[in-house]
Amino acid sequence: MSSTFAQPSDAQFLRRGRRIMPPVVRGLLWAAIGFFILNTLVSEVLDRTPFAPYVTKLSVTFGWAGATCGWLLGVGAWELVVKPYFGYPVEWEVPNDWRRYFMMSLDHKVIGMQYMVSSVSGFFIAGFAAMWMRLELMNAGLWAFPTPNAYLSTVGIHGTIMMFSFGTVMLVGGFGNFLIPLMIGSNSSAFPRVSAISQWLLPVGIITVALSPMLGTWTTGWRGYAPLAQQDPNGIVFYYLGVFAMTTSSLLVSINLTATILFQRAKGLTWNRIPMYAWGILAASLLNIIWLPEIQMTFVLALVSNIVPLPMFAQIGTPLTYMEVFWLFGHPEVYIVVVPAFALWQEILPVMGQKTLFARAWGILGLVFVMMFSGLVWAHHMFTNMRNDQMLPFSFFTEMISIPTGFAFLVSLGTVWKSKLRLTTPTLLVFMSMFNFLIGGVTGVMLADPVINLQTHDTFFVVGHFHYTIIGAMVFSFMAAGYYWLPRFSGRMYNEALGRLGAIWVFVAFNGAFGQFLLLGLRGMNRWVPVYPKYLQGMNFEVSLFAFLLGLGFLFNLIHIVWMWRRGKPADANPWHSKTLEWQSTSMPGETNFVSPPKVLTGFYDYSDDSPVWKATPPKEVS
Amino acid sequence: MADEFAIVEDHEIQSATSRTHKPLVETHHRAVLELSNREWRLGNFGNALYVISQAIPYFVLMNVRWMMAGSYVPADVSRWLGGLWPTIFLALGILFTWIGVGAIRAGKPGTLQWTFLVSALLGVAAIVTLFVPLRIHSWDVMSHFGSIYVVCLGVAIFYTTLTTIVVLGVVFRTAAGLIGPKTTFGPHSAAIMWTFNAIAWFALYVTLDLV
Ligand code: HEM
Ligand SMILES: [Cu+2]
Repeated sequence: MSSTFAQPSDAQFLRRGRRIMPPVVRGLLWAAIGFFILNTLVSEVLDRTPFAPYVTKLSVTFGWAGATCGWLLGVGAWELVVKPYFGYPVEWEVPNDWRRYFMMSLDHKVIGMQYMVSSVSGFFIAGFAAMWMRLELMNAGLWAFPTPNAYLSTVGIHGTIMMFSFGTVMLVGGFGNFLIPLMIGSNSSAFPRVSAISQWLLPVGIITVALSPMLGTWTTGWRGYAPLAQQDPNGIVFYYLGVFAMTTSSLLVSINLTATILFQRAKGLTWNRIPMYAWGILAASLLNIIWLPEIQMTFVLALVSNIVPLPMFAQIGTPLTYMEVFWLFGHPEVYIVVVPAFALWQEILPVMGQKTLFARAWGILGLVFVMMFSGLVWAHHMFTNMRNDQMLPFSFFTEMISIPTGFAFLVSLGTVWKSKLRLTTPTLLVFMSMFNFLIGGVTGVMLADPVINLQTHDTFFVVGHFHYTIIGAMVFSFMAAGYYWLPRFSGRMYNEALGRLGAIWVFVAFNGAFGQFLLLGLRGMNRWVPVYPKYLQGMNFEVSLFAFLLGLGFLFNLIHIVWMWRRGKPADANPWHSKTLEWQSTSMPGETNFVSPPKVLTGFYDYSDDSPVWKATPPKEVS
Repeated sequence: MADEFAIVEDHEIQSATSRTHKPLVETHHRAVLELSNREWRLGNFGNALYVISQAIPYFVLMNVRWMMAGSYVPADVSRWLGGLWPTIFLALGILFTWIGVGAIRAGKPGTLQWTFLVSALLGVAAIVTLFVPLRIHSWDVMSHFGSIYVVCLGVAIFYTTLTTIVVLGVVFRTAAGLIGPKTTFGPHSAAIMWTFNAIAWFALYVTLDLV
């Protein structure tokens, strides 16, 4: 991490680079070479099992590592990180046009954009998998998939890509990289190279998991439960490797953003003035920094058990050992997903109501306490494997965690109370998100009760619950933020009527589908099955129709946003009259945010008077 | 695209920003510049986050060692290879790297270079002594102790390789004249990384072999 400090204006150190082939093409080429070398080395030289195929699960692991390194070096790490680290001058020129998105860049806005595109691609790839699953479930028999294993692999791909490339990433790596430096009045993130590398790991992870069926099916789902994983064909190897790439990506971003928020703040941006979104990102990042390495080591153990193979989690240790270490991470993970979403509510509502954020300190406390509690509740995922007397503390803490979560609601409600709220698309989506999360939260508290949990465990009630929290809260908030910040990203405004239509569309379709997930669960619909009792077919059929409507709704919103990004009406620099700093600069990717460093004068959420929030200080002499 | 913004706010500077289209120069060679105090603290904070996040895998390993294998140690496991040798090499490296850091602060790049070179060699020695028992050993890989032990050796090899490369980078950058008495952050961080790696391995070794 040494010598990666942000100093984007040292032009004199820039040398013109040699001409190279397009970095992405070079990355693919080097990836192929890396794979070839390491795979051959392992399968043909070191491990010469007679009659073994060219690609074994041992060799593919090393081949994958070689490919990933080749890819990262090819898209720019060679010039931007490795050579300078060994004392060569930096020769990396990022053209100021579309090409900058196809190479490694140090500009936090470019990186943010790259992350958003990768992450949203992951969402639609995994969404496609969901559509296919729902197609299968329209009929009680097996018909849309060749085998039950194929269905289960698809569920796993869906869950894994959704969680690790979208749920964990979009609000942190995407919006976070783009907006956090702006919101705290900085020209750069703290360690731009770290985010530069991490962005390019994300597509690796998505593609690896999506291609896992090339190695064979896997039936464990996103949790990779061992020793079940050891019994499957080899697809699970690509699950571990892909998740490794994606979690490393998120870990690196979190380190960078944490340092950015703590160290890159503008003058006058004191602790009690830190923007809400920055608080949300800080809380999520700290969780990432603790728990992602934890799950990575767990997955390394499981991967090694699989490819060597070793008898871990089976003859040595137990399946419960795995569940324990998985859910230690697994529960904090859900807060990694949802805490930034809460922060978005508190970012958008005061602006839309032009009213001071209500009880701001309690909002922050809520985020922080949720973060701290989240490590104490993991075993509520394992009630079916516990003795009664072990359940109580976990049940208790799980229900307690709803209290700080409630703060997020109260702060939001207090803010809109008696405000002259503009019912724009972002506002609407925030309200929908709150409504959905209420259902997600209430069903969560129900599930925290062992009596209910033991009845509904592994049914669609659980699936309904967590989709209400994840889609309901996180995806809806993500959409709210997408519309809210569209003018900031693109300089253009969306169409309000189409925006509202899109919001209502997904809201109706979402509740139609997932509300009935809950009911299906109560009627005895198991999760993890492509085949189910005939009496559930009617409702499943209908759920699938709503699910397709939902898929189309997301597509509609995507097209609307992409269209308006390019063709929308030019927007004012600060169309919502927000006080936060990201609106006080109109810099586009490739441009400096604040030519003269801003000095913050008051908090950002006080709309009771019109005094300026910041002033520009004289530009620093660039020597 | 910035030109399409209508300027609504009257902050003078802001309009200037949006109009000038100043391209952001994306590369630099910061290593030859002095760091401000704040940048030092930022850099050290980055180091701290690296150490904290990477200590966690080691905690998991220690934990799993107890969960899966209790405190059992087979009688035929070598105390030296995959045990004391790498511990000694890494411990010596702590000494050498920090002597190097002290030397460059006193303006002696030559000393920095050879101490870090020695550390890199110690790193290689540690890797070798970790690798040999991974390939040649009398204990059973499929046993409780054996399966944890191979994973621990692998993890230690991985981190030691990374650390050795980082230390080697300092040698090269010093040779290129990029590290001097006022620009010591690189060697300083490399020494921190080395120290972390040595302590982490030692902790692992203690959990594996001694306790
Ligand atoms: C586009 C609308 C979506 C639909 C129709 C949908 C549908 C489904 C279905 C039918 C399952 C299988 C349930 C089972 O049998 O266990 C499932 C699982 C899952 N979904 Fe979704 N989903 C959607 C979006 C999302 C999103 C946005 C996320 C997270 C960001 C997500 C995360 C998950 C996870 C983690 C699982 C569990 C996978 C596993 O058990 O390994 N889903 N989803
Ligand atoms: Cu949980």
